[in-house]
Amino acid sequence: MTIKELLIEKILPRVRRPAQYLGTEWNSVHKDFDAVPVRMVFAFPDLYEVGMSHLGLQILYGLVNQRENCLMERAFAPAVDMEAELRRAELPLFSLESHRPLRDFDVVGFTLQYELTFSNVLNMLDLAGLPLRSADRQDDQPLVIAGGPAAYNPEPLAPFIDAFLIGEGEEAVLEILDIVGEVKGGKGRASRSQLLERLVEKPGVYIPSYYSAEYKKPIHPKAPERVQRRVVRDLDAAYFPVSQLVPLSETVHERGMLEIFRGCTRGCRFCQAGVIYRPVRERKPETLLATARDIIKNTGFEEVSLISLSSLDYGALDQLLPQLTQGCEATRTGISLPSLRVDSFSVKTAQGLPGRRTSVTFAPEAGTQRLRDVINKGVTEEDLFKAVEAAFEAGWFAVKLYFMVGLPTETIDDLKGIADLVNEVVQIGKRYSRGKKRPRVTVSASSFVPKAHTPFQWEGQNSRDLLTNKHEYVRDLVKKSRAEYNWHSIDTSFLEACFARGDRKLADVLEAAYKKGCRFDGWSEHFRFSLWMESFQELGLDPVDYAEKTFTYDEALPWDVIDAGVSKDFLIEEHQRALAGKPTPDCRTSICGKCGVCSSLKVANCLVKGRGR
Amino acid sequence: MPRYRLKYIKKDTARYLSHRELMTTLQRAMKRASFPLTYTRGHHPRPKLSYGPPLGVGVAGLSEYMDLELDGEISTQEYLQLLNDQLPPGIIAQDLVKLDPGEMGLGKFINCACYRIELDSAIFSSISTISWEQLFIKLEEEHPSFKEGLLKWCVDPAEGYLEVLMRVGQEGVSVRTLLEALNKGIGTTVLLPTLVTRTALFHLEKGLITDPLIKNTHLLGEK
Repeated sequence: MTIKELLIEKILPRVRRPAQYLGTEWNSVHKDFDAVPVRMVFAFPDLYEVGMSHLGLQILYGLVNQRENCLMERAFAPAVDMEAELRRAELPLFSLESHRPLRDFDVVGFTLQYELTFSNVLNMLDLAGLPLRSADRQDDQPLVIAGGPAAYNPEPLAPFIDAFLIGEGEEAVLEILDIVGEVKGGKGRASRSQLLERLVEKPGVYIPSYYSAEYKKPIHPKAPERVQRRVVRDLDAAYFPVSQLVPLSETVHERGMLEIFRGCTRGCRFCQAGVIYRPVRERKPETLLATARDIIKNTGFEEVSLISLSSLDYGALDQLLPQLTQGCEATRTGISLPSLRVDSFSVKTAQGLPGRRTSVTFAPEAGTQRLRDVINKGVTEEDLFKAVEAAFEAGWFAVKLYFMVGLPTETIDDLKGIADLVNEVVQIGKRYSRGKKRPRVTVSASSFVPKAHTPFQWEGQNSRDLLTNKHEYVRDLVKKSRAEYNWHSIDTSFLEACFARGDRKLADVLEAAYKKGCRFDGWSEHFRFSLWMESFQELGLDPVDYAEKTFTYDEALPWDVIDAGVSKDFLIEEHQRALAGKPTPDCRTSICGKCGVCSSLKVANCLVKGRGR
Repeated sequence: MPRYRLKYIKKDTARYLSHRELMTTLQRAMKRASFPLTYTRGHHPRPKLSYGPPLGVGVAGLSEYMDLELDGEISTQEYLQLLNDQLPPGIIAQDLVKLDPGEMGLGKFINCACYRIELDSAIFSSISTISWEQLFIKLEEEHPSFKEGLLKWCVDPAEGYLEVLMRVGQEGVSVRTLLEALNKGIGTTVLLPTLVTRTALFHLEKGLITDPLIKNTHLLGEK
């Protein structure tokens, strides 16, 4: 029996939501596996329902499959019941399209969206029948690469991954596949060591085995001192998929994705995305309209989402939205914005869009003006109240507020400030009650996790006890206003902090925890914190040292080998401005903040309406 | 607005779609095929589509139906082709007909269904025809709903299946309940939804069965 037959006849009858393993989604690409010389599998280390909503997958899948001599297929982390079936049947992890084992591909490429998917990376390698560590894999086994935001501190995964791709993948992935094709020649397999010898010359490629484990000096003659991230200069001309995969099984977001721009220069000091996707590159409205039309036609999705890090900042909204709305009219396609800026303009804009209206979300992030200045979140109390007022007036009946607890310099006044803001929002809401029903106000609070390459990268995380006390304090105050308070698991944020700034020693911890059974750590129902703590202990490491560590400016950082384009001097200056409570303006609308990205990466903000609209 | 009835098949790998997944898939395929769907009003417009009784995950259907309301008349042959060009593997649009105004909706019309359950030879060799009779008598005793809901059954050892005619809806028996009861009665665990195919959906009234599309009427037991 082939894998496909076994799957369909023996395994799918026994697992939950089997449609996710069929691989027959509309717009999926099924090439003749044996006839295509260069084959890559995109490995998403989380469930189908998460991975299928990921824009990066859609872009690379469409891009690579456009090429006649390449194919890209998909593999997601199998759900726990599916994993048990695979192991019981001794079946290897396979790709969805041609049901080929992952080891039959030339390249296995993981995307690292979140630190707590790392155990799934190991699990997928193991299910694929591949040794976990690069050093243990045969020379003719697939090249294992990884990219995505969590690759910006690659060290905890360094022993498991042959090469990391740092930065945007549109151009680099094709360059990598070209090299694979050349090295492979007409042979059945490329030699991994030969491949790495070639890949080291490509910008954006970090090959951990070419560097000393202790503070990462190159030990290979061609390895660069620092690996500079890749960035797409002309996003408007770059490939964008219009035949996006239409999921068969339900996913988190089922909608067409229209990426209107990339990068955000608002400069929130806790935000890694705000650094690693700089500069801002907007697509032209006419490009977007044509793209949206094709997406709707080719997918039949009920909704198109305008994707970016802060979509309301798009410079030509006034041109784009009326025409897009008109174009969506005949097919009743909804238009959604992933998040709203905290101001009434955003609300009024969102109000005019066709589509479902469930709740509206604002992210003031901190409770006082002082702390919002520290984190450079350019939002005032007045902005928030006006935005909320506008939302209720426009008929929304549920408001969600995002806050972060445990930010640097935070005091009890800042925590009390959260409760005061929430209370005021509730009071505004009361004026819009419908009979006895009051609008629903929900607070969603996360714990601050310091991230590599941000101005807060030197800051330690608050202790778990302190975070617990802080959340409980705010919760009790918020409860008095009869708003709902939800907070993310502190243990989860703690582990995330360990890995976000961890070094290569954490690889052993990861492997130990994985072997004890850890996987899907980002899912509360699967997260087994005690196994992680045991693993740290067995290896003589204290996770507290990682999460709470305060680095000094002159100390070498585990991720120094990665050059995100932003200069360290800028990050230091931003950190100091943060401590002094000084905001830094957005270079999109104001003067250049000298972050260093444009000069070092030879790029520039690309705005459809020029600077200072 | 004109209403149409679509007859379609859900088989092969598509049998693994849930009812909800199937509904979404059909709706998106119709949108891609540029059907002039009629939408509900309001902020969250939905196409006016209605489906026959749901098929569970794993169960195939050879004669499934859905009704759709359209903004205008269409050429049924042309749109049947357009739809088939947009359907993923395992879902096949078979027929599309315009409904007469005032025609009963699917939800009211369909009240019984015929299922075929594949059985392997081991099960047949362990059960004689007489014991099949006893098995079903026992099932009816244990499950009062079977008395009303389970209309007819027959076994065909040569072809390797058990066929049952059941009511659907409130007075009906679900496939899941039936399989559980059969597994228990036979003393096995191998009867899974993937062995089940719904072969037909009917309207049954006063001993007469009517097909939702061609409106052929038969006496129950005639076929």
